[in-house]
Amino acid sequence: MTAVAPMIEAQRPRGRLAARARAVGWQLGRIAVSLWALATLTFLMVHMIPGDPVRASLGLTAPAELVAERRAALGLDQPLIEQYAAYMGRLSRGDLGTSFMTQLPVTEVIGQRLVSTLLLGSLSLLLVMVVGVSLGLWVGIRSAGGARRLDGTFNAASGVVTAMPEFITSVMLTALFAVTLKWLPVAGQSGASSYVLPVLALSAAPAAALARIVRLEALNILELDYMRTARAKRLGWRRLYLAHLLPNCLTATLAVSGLLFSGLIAGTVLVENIFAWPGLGSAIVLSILQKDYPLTQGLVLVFGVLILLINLGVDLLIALFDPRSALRHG
Amino acid sequence: MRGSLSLTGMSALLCALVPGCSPPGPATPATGQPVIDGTFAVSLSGDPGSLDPYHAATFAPAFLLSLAYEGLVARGGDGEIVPNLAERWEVGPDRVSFVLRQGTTCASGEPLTINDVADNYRYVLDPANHSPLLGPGGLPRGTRLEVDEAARTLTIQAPSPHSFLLESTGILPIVCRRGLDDRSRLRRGTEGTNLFRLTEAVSNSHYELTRRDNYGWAHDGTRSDTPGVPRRVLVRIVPNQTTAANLLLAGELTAAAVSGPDRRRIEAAGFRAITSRAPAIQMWFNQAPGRLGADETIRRALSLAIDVPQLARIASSGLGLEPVRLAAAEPMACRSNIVANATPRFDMAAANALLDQAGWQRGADGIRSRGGRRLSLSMTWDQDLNDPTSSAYGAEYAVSQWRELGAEVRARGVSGAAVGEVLFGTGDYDISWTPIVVSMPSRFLLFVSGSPPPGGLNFSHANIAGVDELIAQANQLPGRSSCPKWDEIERLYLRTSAVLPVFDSDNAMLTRGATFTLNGLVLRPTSIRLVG
Repeated sequence: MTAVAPMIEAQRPRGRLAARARAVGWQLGRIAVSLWALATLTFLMVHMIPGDPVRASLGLTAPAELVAERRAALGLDQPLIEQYAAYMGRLSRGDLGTSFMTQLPVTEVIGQRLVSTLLLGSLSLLLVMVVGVSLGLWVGIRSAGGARRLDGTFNAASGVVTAMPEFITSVMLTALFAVTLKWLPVAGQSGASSYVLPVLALSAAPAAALARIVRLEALNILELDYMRTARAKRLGWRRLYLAHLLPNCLTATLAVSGLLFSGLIAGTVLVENIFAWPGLGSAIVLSILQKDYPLTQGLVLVFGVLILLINLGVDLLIALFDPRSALRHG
Repeated sequence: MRGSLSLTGMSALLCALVPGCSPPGPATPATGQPVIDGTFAVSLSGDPGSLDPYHAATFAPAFLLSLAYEGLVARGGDGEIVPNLAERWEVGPDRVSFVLRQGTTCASGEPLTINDVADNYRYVLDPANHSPLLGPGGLPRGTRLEVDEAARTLTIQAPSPHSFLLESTGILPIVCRRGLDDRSRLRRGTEGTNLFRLTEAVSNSHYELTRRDNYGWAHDGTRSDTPGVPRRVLVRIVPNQTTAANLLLAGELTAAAVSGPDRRRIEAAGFRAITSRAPAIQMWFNQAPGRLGADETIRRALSLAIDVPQLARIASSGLGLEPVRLAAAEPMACRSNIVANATPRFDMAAANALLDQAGWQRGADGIRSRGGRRLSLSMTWDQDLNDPTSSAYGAEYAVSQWRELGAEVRARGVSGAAVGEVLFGTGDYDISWTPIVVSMPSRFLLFVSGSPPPGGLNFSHANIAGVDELIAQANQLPGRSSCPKWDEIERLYLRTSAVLPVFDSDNAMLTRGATFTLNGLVLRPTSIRLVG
């Protein structure tokens, strides 16, 4: 797809399939080790936070014998190493346990909430990609053409938006569009209109960050010899920008968007809380505060798996687009 | 044009961020007429999870389930006990007989029998079921039941006399036969007799309850067809309080529990606050052997060094109520004010004199010590209760007062779950700012008498000679006639500086377009009326 690609690919034509399988296998192994580390660290961290989950779930005024009964029933009176073994055993069977607070199976809680969070995350990712890439390309092309003021304004504005935490964006958007103007609902997941504010709040900062990176990439690539040649040949803007410029910006864009999406998932924690969104993010804070071990462990694991999968997806996409990728050649 | 638009947007934004500034909106003229078959939308901060009333010990399920379930008796507005599913009762020191009202039906339409009622009590009393309602706070272990089907009578025989036996046994939520036979129905649905039944449950989002037909035994005379009773109650799960406040302002909620700065903003916008008292900060001194708090002189000096009204203003940002007693959560079983004359008044000179006389000498750094032991203490306060920022300021104030006295206090804020661990687990604290949120003095005494953790609940190792006899005497008297006795016992704890009540909060539910009353922090379902 690019001018350099055929040359590099030609260097290592043999054993490509086997090498690729080996690379994917290595990736999967890495994910398995990451998952084990994640599960272990979650277990240790949750148990290290001070607090008594049984008392929290039964109320401070619960009688002592009931607390002791519950603790024994939940296995919390066992030594930590035995609790860890039991936890890993259950985990390997896909059993995430039962939430202390709600008495519901953790898989049920996650199942109910996962879709809402994924919907919020993927809509935001879509918006981030579309807005970030097109805005960045546009500003890059215009400023390469000498639009100084546009470039300055963009840099200042996108800098501010990038630095703005999600909860500030959320509060400002709600205050303006929901409370004052009453155009959109304040919170909750109801109709299509209820998605507007959370998605905007979640994607504003990453979209601005991505646009800045794409602009910089575009500016760099526009200065390269082959772009100058292409322009000198008076290619139409479509071929010039969409066929020559865009694909070459994509490697950096994809690598960053993996990070951005991981950030998006983390951002749901605050945004879901503010918009009363029935997702995983709003559950995780509460579960940590209440020391609801099974729920916290389950949620952190799901978040971790999501982020690992996103990174794997990004690596695969980069391999698809970038001939220099290690994954492509093993 | 573009400039003016963004300017309007900007000013609206600024206005929305400033408390008390609300742009002129279309004011709906209040007619005061009841709204027929309307919707009452209310927020709840956490998801209730499992809806089995006998396995739910936290606030969220209690709030939701009180709309669908009710007990043999209920609490009236003043905390007094009124007939409900039971038309009458007879109560003795250790025994109470309820007579089931004729014609009571479940929301599903089936009649409720005295055997159904008794099966509820049997379920809780069976230790194999691990219900949190079994124990000193609910049904005492060892309680026996007698059922007389013909007379529709259930007799509860407690193992020992108890002043508030009627209250603690009669408010047990009654589950109907369908739920008793198949408890899995109770995890995601309701099988009760109260005015509403659950018709839709979307976890973490909302729970919809619909008014049932043929309800008509409430003490306040409310029936299914009373004008103004909502047809639908929508409980929306809103974890963030500012969001709940915004939902109120936008008209998406009829009522929401809101506190602090958000409450001021909502009240300024013309919403009415319906409030309920509960203790917010009670300062406990750890009296375990070897702890400095075991010495009454030190407890008293530490108490005298605090200007309690001043501390209350700081720690509550001026929103607190003056404490009236120790078991002070609404609905209070005993109501008289006993704090006013039983707590020490701020007197730094007297506090210093007490420590001087006891031989605590000031060192070079101003901290006192005696026989090589420094007057150094640790204090914990609960970050999950009250406003954490104000609590932190309050802690700073208290620490500076104690420093002036010559006591070195290290204060740290911990999460609610950690407070439980400190008080009932490690016991590693000298001073703790924790409220005991209970309505009955008898329940309060579970935490300040008897054996300390892990065997008992006496977390501060409070030890007042002869208190067990006083408790036994009070328990011989039924209901509120026992209050003078309980007052006397509570006063003993105040006089010996076992505890210093700082302030109570008036937890508020803000509303517009509806009237209702609260039972603690829970709605009284039959009291809800929508008004236009």
